[in-house]
Amino acid sequence: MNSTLKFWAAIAPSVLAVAAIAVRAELHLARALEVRLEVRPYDPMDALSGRYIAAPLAITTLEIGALRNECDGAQPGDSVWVALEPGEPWWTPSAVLCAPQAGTLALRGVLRDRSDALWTVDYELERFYIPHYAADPSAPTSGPRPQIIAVVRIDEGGAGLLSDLLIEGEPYADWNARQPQPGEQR
Amino acid sequence: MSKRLEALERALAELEAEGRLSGEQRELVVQRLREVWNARRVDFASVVAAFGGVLVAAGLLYLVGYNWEALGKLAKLVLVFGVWLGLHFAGWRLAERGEYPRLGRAFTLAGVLAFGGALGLVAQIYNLSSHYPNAVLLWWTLSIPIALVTRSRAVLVAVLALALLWTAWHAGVWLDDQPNDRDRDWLANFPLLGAAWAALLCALVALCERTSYADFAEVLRKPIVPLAAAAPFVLAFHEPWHGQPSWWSQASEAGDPALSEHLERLKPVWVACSVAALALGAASARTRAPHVRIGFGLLVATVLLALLTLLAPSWLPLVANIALFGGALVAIALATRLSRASLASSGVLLFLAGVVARYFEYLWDKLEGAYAFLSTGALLLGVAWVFEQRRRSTRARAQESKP
Repeated sequence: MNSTLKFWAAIAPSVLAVAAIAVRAELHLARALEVRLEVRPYDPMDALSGRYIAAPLAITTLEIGALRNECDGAQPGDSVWVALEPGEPWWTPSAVLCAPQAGTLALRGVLRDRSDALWTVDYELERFYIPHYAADPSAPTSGPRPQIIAVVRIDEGGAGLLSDLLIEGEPYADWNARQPQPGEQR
Repeated sequence: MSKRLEALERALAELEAEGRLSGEQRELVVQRLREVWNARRVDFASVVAAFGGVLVAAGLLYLVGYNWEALGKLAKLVLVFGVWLGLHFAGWRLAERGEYPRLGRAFTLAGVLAFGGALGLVAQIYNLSSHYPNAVLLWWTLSIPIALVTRSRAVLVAVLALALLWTAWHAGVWLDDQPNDRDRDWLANFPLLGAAWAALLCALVALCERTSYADFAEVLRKPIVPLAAAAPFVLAFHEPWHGQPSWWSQASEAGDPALSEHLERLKPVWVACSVAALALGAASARTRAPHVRIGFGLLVATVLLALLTLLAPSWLPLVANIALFGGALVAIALATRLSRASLASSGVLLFLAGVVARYFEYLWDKLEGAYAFLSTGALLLGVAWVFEQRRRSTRARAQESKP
């Protein structure tokens, strides 16, 4: 194998990995069904990807007694699917399943903790990245915190992808454009 | 020129003046010494170029993190992919042509670091998050082929640093997820993981030595002592393990041994030990280098300490102290055998660190501390006396055998 080929062969796995993640996400956004879920946010920072709004979904904590539980044997670390029912302004959980079921829209997560009354499920949908100087709806400078809803696209297998945040019903980018500019804020 | 090299050249000149070395031989030795010295010397251009590469990569990561809203999704992808691949291409071309090898490797290093930026950008664009640090896992594993193809030691250092970071991060998340999260589990897992990593590095050193990747052995060898020393050093403190019941006394009280539950607490350590054992197995099939034996020794010590942590925690500090001070002496003994001054220094430093740690640990219980120091000191003086005696008798025999 000559050196040029070796060089491209060494770079190829990295390029393919990043491209595969991007293509998979694009396909997910194009094909999956959209739901809206309640968010309880805060505002941290990632060393690589920058500032984000941590958007833990309200359905992270499930009152298990109020739901149809078809997966009572699940232990922390197991995958569970949380069936969702449409509602306004957001969708609500109706059941916990051990596997996706045809005709039922369910979001896949990993059970992290369980007690008699509450289950904690991690959907790995916690980050909504925002520009460095963008406005942060989780910590408003004045007035009460606005209503924040996560727009999540769920595919047939139950995998979710956070596609937008609605701030008082408005897409984040539009809401942010109406906020004071960095010079005005700082 | 270094003072050490000057002293060597003076000694060679003296040997020539005494007639014990010909001028031609002296020239040959001096030439070889200079070659070796220049090969080992820290190259200013390489260091400056590597710093430049690191800064370029840091700038790119900042640019990604800034999440410039003026740029659309596609523009961001093109910009970061373009810079990332451009750095790799420039690095390869500069090094390949042989005109600017140091600058080329610096560009490659920047390209490897910028891969983290590319992953971060994709996560940012699609709001991806992951419970475990999978991006760091991708970052270091997919950079291994680049290190192997370019044979760059700087890239290997980056890969190794990322691999260690990922190990600690992943283990931390796993520990955080455990029900009945205990401080002692954190205290035991991290240093023992370090020791298992040291055994794995021993295997990698043995696999690299006497191959075209011999330069990598130098890099892989450096973290072995600190990683191996972390386990006995941390576990040698009495306080966290004081009064902890042994597994069998717990079992007889509760009536439920639950050995698997105990073993589960050190799952990251068992996984790391298994990987190290496989690597050492592969290395031992290929070579009988000292690092294979050292690696197996480290692996056995790690497993022993891990089992003690679970089954008889109150014995742990005693065994860890023996491992700490014994390890320091073994390092010094190996240094004399392998002619590695840095290993001897590490052994001495480890010994001193152990003494200082024990001194402060016993500060409030001086009588117990005095017994420990006096008995250990006396033991070592006794060992030194035995060695001195053996050396004297060997020298005497040598004198007697002279004609």
